[in-house]
Amino acid sequence: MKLLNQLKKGEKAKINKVECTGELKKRLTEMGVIKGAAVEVLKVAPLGDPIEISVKGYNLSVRKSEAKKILVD
Amino acid sequence: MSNTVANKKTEKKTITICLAGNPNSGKTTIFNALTGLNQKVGNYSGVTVEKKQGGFTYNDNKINVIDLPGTYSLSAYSMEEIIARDFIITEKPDLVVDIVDSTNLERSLYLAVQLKELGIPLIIALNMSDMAEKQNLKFDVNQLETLFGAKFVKTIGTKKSSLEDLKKAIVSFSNEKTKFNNVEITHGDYVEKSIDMLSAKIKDVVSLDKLYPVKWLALKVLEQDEKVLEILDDVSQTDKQSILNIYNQEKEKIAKEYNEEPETVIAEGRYAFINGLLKECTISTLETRKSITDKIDKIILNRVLGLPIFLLIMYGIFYVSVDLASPLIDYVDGLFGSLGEAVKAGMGEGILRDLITEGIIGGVGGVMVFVPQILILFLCISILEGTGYLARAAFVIDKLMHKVGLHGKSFIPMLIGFGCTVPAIMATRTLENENDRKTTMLASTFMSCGARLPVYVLITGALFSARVASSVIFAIYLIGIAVGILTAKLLKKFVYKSQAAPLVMELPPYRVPTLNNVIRHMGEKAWMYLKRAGTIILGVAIVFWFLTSFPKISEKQEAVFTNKITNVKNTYNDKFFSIYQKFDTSAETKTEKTDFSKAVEANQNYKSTFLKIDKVNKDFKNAVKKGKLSDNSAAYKTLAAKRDEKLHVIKQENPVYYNAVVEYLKLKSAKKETIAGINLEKVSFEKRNSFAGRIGNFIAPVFAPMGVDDWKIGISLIAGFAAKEVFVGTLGTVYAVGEEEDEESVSLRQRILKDPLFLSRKPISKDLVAKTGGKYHLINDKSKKVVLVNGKFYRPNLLVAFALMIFVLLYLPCMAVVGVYVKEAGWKSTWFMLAYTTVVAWGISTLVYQIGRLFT
Ligand SMILES: Nc1nc2c(ncn2[C@@H]2O[C@H](COP(=O)(O)OP(=O)(O)OP(=O)(O)O)[C@@H](O)[C@H]2O)c(=O)[nH]1
Ligand SMILES: [Mg+2]
Repeated sequence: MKLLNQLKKGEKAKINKVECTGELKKRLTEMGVIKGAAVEVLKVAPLGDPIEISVKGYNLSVRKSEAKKILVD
Repeated sequence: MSNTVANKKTEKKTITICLAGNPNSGKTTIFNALTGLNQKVGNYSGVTVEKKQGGFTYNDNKINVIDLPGTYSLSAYSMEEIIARDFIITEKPDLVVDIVDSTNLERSLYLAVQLKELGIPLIIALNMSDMAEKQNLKFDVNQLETLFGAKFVKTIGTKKSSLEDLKKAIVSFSNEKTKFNNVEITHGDYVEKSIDMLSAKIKDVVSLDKLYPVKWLALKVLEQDEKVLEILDDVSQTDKQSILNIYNQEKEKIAKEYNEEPETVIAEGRYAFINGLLKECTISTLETRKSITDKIDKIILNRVLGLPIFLLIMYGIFYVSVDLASPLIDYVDGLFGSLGEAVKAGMGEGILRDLITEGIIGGVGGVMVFVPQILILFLCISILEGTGYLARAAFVIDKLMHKVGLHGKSFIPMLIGFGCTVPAIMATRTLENENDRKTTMLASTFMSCGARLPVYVLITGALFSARVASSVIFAIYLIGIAVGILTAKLLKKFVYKSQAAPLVMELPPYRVPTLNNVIRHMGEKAWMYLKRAGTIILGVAIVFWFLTSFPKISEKQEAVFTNKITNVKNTYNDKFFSIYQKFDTSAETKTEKTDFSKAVEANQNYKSTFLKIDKVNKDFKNAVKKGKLSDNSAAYKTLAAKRDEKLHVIKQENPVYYNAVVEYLKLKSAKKETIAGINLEKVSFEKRNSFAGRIGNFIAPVFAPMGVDDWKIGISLIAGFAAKEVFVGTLGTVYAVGEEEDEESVSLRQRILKDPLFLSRKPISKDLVAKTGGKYHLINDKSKKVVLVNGKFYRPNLLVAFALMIFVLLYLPCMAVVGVYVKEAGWKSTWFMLAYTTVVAWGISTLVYQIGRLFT
């Protein structure tokens, strides 16, 4: 088990749990970042943050601090 | 319901439909195609931030269409999402058309499922089906309809002809909706049980079940949907409490089973349903391959290249709209110049003519000159918006923005602000957090909008060398960005303290902006600019013409100037007489009334000598002009030597005549110059005495610390509050009023260049100056300008110009912006903004001027 922000560029994984609450959780959930979804880290922004991931067939950007709350395996 | 009843209904009633869907799914594209309207389309999330209304008729059916902002779900956060949700839930349109992106069905259908739960009549438009086809994605539409329970229609928003099916479906929906209603989405046993428990209670509360389906209310209570909890406030306290009690019980049960909040379980249930649906209905999918978007992003979002590319794109925009547009500007400028001449020639002298040439052509023309520039700027911005780079810019810059407590997404309104601040303020609606929104609004007023560009172009064009003009303008833009960001930082630290909202943002695939969109967008902006030129600016120009032209000076003052001129004329006439005697020795006594300059020029001896000398001089001038020779070049010197030789030969023929001619010419031009000097004095006296001059002089001391202690600038800055380009228009009028008739028409830029305000304090030595093609410049740097004023050479005072441009950049946004600001942020924030921008503008310009002065 790893955190999403620990994945390297190009690494793929499956989401295990989204460990945040409130708005962020709702937002992620409705955008398809939920348990069981496949993710891939596509890019890291030039300044090191945020990262771009692919989930449910589209590209999404999240900050590392947000990715830290997503468990993957 | 029988079909006949339904048919009657559709024939008579206008149907109200709304276009809902995820951001960037093509709602507005379809809206425009259906209604023929021209709402803004762009390739990023959050283009539409307000609901827009339009309509069309199809087979005699009137259909009212509402375009909504995009939203990912019915539980909304940001303002524009709330608008969409509220419309669907409270206004209950006859039909919701959910526009979904076919290449992204899984996520898109999430909203569709929620709409389905709401039990509202629903058509799903599988938009972007062209892209889906390209990616070899195929769906079994019949199967989708059966399993989902709604009408599905394939569309291509960018192709009008593909919308025929959608129109048909909309018109006949009331016949078909019954057919689909039977499918119900279930959420798994535990959740369903909880829903039943809540439903039972809600059913008892009479006032609720009339508004919405009971099951939906139950589901939403379980999701703790804010909007529904608000609705619960309308029922009695005891009822509400007992509903919440049941919720708490059920929440615990669900937590025990799933170890999650109910809302997460419900969301997962929806996705599970969609998953199952797509498994049944997908005919083919292409395994993910590297798409074009990925390839482009590999370069554009590259760790090393990303930031330089970002800056390069920004610089590119300014380069294109400043440097490439300048020949066009000169061309249009020329057009207005000759128009002014034509009017002057064609109309009799009088106030009306002055109003037209000085007020209208000077003011409105001065602004219209920049239309090509505005077109190019908006072309660039609509390309940025259309390709999908905007979201990337937000991605690249987020970390920096986060450091000042903001959001990458805040950058999008700021970039839009380079076009116009009004849509920028509107675009802040996509920000989820009210504090972020207000901060971003204030920051985006400092992004230099298109209307400010003419000011910089005018001033840099007049005073700076062409080589550095665009860099100077770019620097101004950067200063705007820096001030905006710093402002955000301060605000976040002291006023709007709050955590920055998360950056969960979709990066859309790159698209080629459709020509149609780009042209429409550009056309609209240019039209708006022209409209403003024809209304506000015309009005302001006329008002300022009056203010500058009246009151006229008193007769006594007038007489003072007339006397001065008569005296000069008399003195010179005496001198011309003594020259005349040289040509006509018989002329002994001077008759008082003769104009001896005419007499000299009519004399045969004078004429023959003059023509010889004149020919030599003209030949020399033409040769210099042809060779574009600088007057310190070797070729120039050889030519000059040859000229002197020829002149010497003429002198030898008759030294008396020769000397007399030379002397006469010198005197003649001296006379002209002296009279022009007196006239200039009169004009400037008149202007300063005018209403505008008095107001301007009154306010000018305020600007003294930033180096622009000048009534013309003062009054133009006041006018610039109407719209920033009015500053240019007013300067055009103020500089033009009272110009001498016979003088060749001088462009505004030349007038500014010669204005003492913009001259260096000390003249520079003649040895440093050369002349090429009629223009002065420094010998060691040809591109640097030098002006000849009253026989002395000056360099333009670039520091004053720079401080002034910074002030224009930062001070009060235009009235239109104040209008939306009040609407979007309220009066209190607006007053704050007005005070803040004024203080900051004054402070920074003063700082720049005072510090700059230490070094010059
Ligand atoms: N290839 C293709 N592109 C489309 C289609 N429909 C829309 N687009 C493009 O998709 C982008 C988004 O279109 P919009 O109409 O602005 O999307 P929207 O749903 O109104 O977006 P928001 O207002 O931000 O919610 C634009 O670049 C359109 O040109 C389509 O059917 N096919
Ligand atoms: Mg839209």
